[in-house]
Amino acid sequence: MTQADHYNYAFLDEGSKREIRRTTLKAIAIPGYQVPFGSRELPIGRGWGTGGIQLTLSLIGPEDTLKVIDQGSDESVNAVNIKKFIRLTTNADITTDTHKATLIQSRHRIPEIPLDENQILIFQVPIPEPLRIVEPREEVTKKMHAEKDYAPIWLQLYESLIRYGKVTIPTEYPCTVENRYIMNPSPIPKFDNPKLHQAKCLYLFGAGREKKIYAVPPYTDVVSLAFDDVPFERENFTGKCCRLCGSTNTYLDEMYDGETGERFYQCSDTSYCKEVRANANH
Amino acid sequence: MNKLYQFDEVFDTQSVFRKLLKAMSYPGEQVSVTEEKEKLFGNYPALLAAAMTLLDNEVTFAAMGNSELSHDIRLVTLSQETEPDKADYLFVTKAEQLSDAFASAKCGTLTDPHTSATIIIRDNEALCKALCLSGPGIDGVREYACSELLCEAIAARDNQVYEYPQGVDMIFISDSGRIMAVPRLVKRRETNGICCSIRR
Repeated sequence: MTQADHYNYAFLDEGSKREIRRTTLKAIAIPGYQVPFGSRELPIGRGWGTGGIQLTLSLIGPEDTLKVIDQGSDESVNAVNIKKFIRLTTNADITTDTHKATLIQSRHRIPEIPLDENQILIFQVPIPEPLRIVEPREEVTKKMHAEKDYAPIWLQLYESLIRYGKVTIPTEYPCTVENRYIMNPSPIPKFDNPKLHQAKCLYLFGAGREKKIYAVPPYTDVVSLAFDDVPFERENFTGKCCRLCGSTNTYLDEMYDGETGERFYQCSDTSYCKEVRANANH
Repeated sequence: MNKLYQFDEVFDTQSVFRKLLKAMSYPGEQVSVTEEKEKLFGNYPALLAAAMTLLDNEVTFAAMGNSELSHDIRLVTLSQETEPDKADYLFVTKAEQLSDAFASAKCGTLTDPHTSATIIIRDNEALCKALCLSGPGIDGVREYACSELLCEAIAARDNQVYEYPQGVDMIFISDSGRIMAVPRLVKRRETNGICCSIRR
């Protein structure tokens, strides 16, 4: 008997899964609204992806193929350990190929390949509240969302423009969902924000420590905050390319060689980078 | 020991949930729980499959006077029945109960819209109407085949004139196990001045 036999399928007890499932359906019905839920204890610390793991465990079944990425990488410590844990308690198929995955759990990136209707992307979210930076009290931010009072976050963008001449938020760039709620799209780079808009797939966001689940259903309007005369801008990689696959249209990580002082760039999405190289070799 | 049902509380509930998730994510699209509902008992096995997936003693339901369904749900979920205006899930098995159900269903508050009710409606089998819908989960405006009951339910919902994010979400389940969902943001769209037309 392996240790996994001591646990229910997908680790969580059925009551916990049911609550998370009810919450998930409600989150889909109210896009961008943070639905509170009873976040469960897991064998990893809160803040290490417990929200995403709970969503994955409540969704996964024998037919699923799971992919887990961390900052775009399939092989980082967080991604590998989450895959091992879910595999141990579900015996689910694991893949690094974005095309084959039915469930993709992600920390901080959306894959470069557009996802389709039979795929679900699950985000691990550290701070779900986009207004937290301007208002520390939960009861006040709830009221602000209820009244659609988003003046302070617009003011923050404006102050950033006045001080630095541009909006300096690099990740967690707030966006408006279906012209109602302002949402924190997890700490994905601004580069990925447009992928949320009118996507074919379902996006689910789980914040275990903050006990919130929210969602962006397929074909939903997601608009990054911007002023009429200062449009939203993504990171600009003009003149740079991946040193491995040569891609110029992807989100690039900057690497630095301490000995030579050389800077070079590499695709953040390792699966995509491998695919491009494999196709080039054929 | 003989079990009352063969429905697996781990794997069949997971399967039904994923289909409900699909239905809620892509409103108007049909999914089927025919295989899962065959493992349940009584006159409402498809409704019972949804109840077993979503209900437990943490939430309440109202069967709108259907004592058989109420008994079966309580038996398999341990959920408590309550008045329709307090229930988290309302089960509507007759068309004439629709207006009462919508009039009494919780619609949440502007601060806590998630406290609203979900109305689970026993749908007719005949998809005799064509309905144009738009909203999250729908690529533009699309026409769907639906039952007359679904058209009536959307009209009953619209009569309540909820202020979003308040509202109720609807799940339609036919006896054969066909599921369609209409979340609160999904709206009817007129084509040639008609909201629901006879399907050609």
